[in-house]
Amino acid sequence: MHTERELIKAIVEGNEQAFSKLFFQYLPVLKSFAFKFSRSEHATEEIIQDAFVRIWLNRDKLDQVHNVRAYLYKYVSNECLSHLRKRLNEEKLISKLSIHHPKDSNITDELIQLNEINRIVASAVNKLPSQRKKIYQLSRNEGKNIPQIAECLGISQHTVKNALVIALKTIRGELELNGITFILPLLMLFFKEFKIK
Amino acid sequence: MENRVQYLLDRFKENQLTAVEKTELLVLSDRFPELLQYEIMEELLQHKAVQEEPDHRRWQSLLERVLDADRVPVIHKAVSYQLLKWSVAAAILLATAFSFYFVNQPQDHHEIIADVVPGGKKAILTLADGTKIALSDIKNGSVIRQNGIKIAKTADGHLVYTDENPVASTAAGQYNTISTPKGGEWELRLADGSTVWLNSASSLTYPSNIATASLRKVTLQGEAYFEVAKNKVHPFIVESRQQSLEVLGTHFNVNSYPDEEITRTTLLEGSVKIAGILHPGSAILKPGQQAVMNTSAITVSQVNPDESIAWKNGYFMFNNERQESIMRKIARWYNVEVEYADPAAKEVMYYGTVSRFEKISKVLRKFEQTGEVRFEIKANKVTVYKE
Repeated sequence: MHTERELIKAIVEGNEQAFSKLFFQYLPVLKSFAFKFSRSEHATEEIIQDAFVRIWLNRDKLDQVHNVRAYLYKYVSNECLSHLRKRLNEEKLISKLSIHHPKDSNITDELIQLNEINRIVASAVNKLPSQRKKIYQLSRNEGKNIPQIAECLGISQHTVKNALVIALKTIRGELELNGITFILPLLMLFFKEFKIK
Repeated sequence: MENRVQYLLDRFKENQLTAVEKTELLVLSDRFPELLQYEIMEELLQHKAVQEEPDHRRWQSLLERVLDADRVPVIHKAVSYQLLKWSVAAAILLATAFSFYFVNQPQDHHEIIADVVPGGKKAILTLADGTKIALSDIKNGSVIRQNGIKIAKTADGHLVYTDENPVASTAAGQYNTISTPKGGEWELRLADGSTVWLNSASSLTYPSNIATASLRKVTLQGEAYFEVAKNKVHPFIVESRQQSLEVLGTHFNVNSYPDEEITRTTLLEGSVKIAGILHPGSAILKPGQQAVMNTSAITVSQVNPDESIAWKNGYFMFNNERQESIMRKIARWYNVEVEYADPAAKEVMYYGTVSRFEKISKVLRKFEQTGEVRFEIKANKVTVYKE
């Protein structure tokens, strides 16, 4: 992987090594910020983990991202905000302030329970039509890339790429049905591009 | 407004918000989440990374969890999670029941022409001068002496090395090899007190004077479980096809068969450092961790170590393992060839435990009880059918 563009292209196609490179490249700045923000090792891990789960499950959208750094930062700052809400709500409960908070019930939805996600993903994948399912499994379980899958199944790379994108969209759809959102809050999208210093 | 938000965020980070300020911040986070997010983002953009080596192992595990989120093991029927849990419980229950007494077998509708006995203590020792000795053929209590090294076959059938001349060893640079055939296993104690259990179709090459060698380096092909005697001055090194492993004094299992794409190292006690031979990756393991190495990377995860040394304790243990991988292990232990009449049979997954000292028919019948596959055994060939 020579350029970030090439790295992103590989990640879009589901390449785990490429994603790993991106992860470790940005990890130092992201984890030190998350720690500064939360003052907790555990919370730092949660913030990083949840942000990257979202980024990974949205990997097909990386294609259209102009500024990778800002994109990753958006996800992490979003998770920091979730952490802030969670902590303040916990502290509120502990201190027994009885102000009625209409959005209370949504708080836990923001946090990612990996077991639950995996269960829903498994269910979504099992319902996929057989060729798409096979393509998805060759990609995720056997780590095969698009050319390899195309050769293995005797179909075009274009078909493979489409199948992977649709599978990912189906998975996200299933997750949303179960109350787990994977897109950044709509509000973020209306905000103008941040100035990079 | 931004200043107020900035102030509250700073106080939050320092954990110095008053009760009233906490409420205010909480309300803001609901009414104006984008504003809070913008502020946090601004701070992140200005943040400079702290220069600190991340604990690679810990973050690698976290990354693995991230990637696992959308990995789904192939399940042989489309099951809901509840059903899967039930069938797991059932498979393990079957395994336990089987270990203690025969279960009424369903009617046999397939053929077993000749049953196959399980493996046993079989190995060949090759001395430094090239002499080969079939260890199962020689009597217990036999002793060989070579260059001050005494090699004895004990009453319970394993091999013990003793360096009788440690001070003036003339055995420098002399290597012995123990190799097990398919269907064999062997236990030996090296001259430094380390014990090695060798699984089937494996071989270990080691200096006969390992006790006094400056580097206790052995070469492994296949699978072995090690209990290495502590010696900080002379590190113990296990080299296999893809990796080099350095030990201080510890218990671990290395699985590196030529027909498996990965090398699997599981640590039970102590500490090991692994380095890739085909790539520059390396890792240090803690007890309970397993490293999986392929041609490009090492992945470390927390595992149940019992699974990796089940073979040494006399049984097979499968934890969400594919039929094809299971059959490779069975082929080595029973010294059979495996053929698939239906390639789909390779994909069936199992959980369970079964003794490896039963005849092959008993073991294979356990898989048949799931109703997914059936087997035919003719001479030393097993054919797998999908049901």
